[in-house]
Amino acid sequence: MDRTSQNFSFDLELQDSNTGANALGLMKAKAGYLRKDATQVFLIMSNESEPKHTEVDQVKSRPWRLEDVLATVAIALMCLITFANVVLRYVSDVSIGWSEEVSVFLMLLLVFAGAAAAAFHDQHIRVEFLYDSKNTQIRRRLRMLSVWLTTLVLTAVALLLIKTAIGEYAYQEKVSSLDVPRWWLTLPLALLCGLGAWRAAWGGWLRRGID
Amino acid sequence: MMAGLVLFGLFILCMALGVPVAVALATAGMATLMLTNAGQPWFGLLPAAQNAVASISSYPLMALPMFVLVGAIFDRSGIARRLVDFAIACVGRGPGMLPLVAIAVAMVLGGISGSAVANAAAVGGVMIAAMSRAGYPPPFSASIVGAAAATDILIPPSIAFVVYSVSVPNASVPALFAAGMIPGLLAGLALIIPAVLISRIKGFGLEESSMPRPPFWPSLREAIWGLVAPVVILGGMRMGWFTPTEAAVVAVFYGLFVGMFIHRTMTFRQLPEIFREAALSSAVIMTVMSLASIFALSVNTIGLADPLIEGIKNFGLSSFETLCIVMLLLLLVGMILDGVSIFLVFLPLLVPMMKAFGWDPVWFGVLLTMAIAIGGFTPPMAVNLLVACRMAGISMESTIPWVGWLVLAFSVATFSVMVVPELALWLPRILKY
Repeated sequence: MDRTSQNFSFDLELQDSNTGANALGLMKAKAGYLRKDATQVFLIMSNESEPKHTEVDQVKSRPWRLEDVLATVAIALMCLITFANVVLRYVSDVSIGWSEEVSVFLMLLLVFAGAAAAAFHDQHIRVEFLYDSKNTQIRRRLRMLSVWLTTLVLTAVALLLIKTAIGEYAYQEKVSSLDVPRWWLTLPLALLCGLGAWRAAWGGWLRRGID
Repeated sequence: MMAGLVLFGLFILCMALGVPVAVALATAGMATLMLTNAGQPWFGLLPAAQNAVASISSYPLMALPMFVLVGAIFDRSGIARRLVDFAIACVGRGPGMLPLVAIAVAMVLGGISGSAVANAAAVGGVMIAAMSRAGYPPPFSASIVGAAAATDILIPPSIAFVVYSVSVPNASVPALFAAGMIPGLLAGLALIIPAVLISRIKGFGLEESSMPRPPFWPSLREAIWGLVAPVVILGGMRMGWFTPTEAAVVAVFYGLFVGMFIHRTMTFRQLPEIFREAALSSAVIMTVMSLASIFALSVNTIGLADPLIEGIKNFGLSSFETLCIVMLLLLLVGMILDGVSIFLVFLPLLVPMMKAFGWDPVWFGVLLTMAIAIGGFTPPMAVNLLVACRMAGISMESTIPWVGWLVLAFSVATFSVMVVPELALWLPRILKY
């Protein structure tokens, strides 16, 4: 795993003594439906007893990659901007004119960056009936198929968005409310989509021998 | 017709093979578009990518990640445990009381969080251990928690309603929120009946009677922060203080304040992890929304809805019979597919059908949400129940003897909303949404 990303890693010792969930020693980070959001909800509450399959499977102290940082910063900024807007409106009757547009763009960043992170960890929602088959051969092939198709789709969307951005640049389209060139908004999304394609392939490669 | 077969055939094949739902939707949609637009530059796929961005560029949709974040924060704010103590202080101890408390607390939390999974995690974290100490079998407790959490997406705020509202423009989020209230309470009450009856008949929780009952006033004082939250969120929206999105953000700050300074169950160092978790969970849901728009684009491009509706009308089914079939179909699909995906796959077909039969969009949204709420705790693919089973350390199969009764109760509540649309439509009309 990349060493550089370790610099980002926050040393988190999270537990929730209140819910008592950690006492149950739950949550093996098994591949699955649950992992998509549920384990994230309380993997954090679980304690050290987690078997370490591979670095990709650890959610608890998983390193902060570019896409994690982007998605987290985006959601935090969305909160701050919206809250500031509510407070300002009641205190001074002014509201931040650009808050909606910027929030929507931050949400797009959140989705595209988060999609890349989920692709890397194979956490997108799926029907697992066959995917978790007992037969190792079938399971391996299906995982391969998932990785390939995810990479393919994300690459296609990335290319189409780049093409869109080029068109927007050529026609000098502007976002009316923000007065910025539209391709400024489209291009980052295209690049994040490309990053997602790369992460899907790389995550699949890291998980290749694991059953 | 050929293109329609490719579209749905490819989608079902991909889904069966375990390809992520979002990718399956995009693969099927893009392949169909390429077939139908073969002559055009870039196979006519450019609108597909633009749709994928445009479909999630909506300000009201921002309520979704915000309410996911609210769920993640309230999960750790220590509010659930205090609500449980207070509820026990109210209803007392005895067989069947803890299941009742679990359902009631899930409903109050439903007034704060918009996601059933977060609800199951918060309630399950407290109730499953408490119920097994009192002598309830873990499969029974897990079934109760999983089913009770399903009321969350009916009781406002609700992520499901936000998604529905984005796809169905003439059903506004506030109207849907108001419409979900009574059906949500009804479903919760319907769950209490089998929960209490089964406990009484089977003699579960006999040890409970000898357990201490928390004192009323001190537990009220502890629980007050949690009890006030739904009032602030729902009342604030009702009074026009803030939009649903802003209500979610206010709830985020309220939850952080209570968790960090009042109950002291969270620290600043945990915040990055909590925010990342919420960001990734909502990104996963919204990726499906984004790529589903490619699927919807090809459904519209090949004009699939009209012949289908024509066919149903020629078949001579009445409006109510069609609705029954739609609901049964969604219940079946809900057993294997998660709620948001169901909305996104079927709404391109269901919305024209709704218009053709003149169904009220708000009422229809409530019915669909009730169907997917049931899917949330019907094995084999049941997210809420899965969370509860993980916490109880049991397999999902072991819950089957109990969960069936709860599915039945929830279905009865759903059927009454089908027969009496006023149950959903009365409140939004009174509130003038």
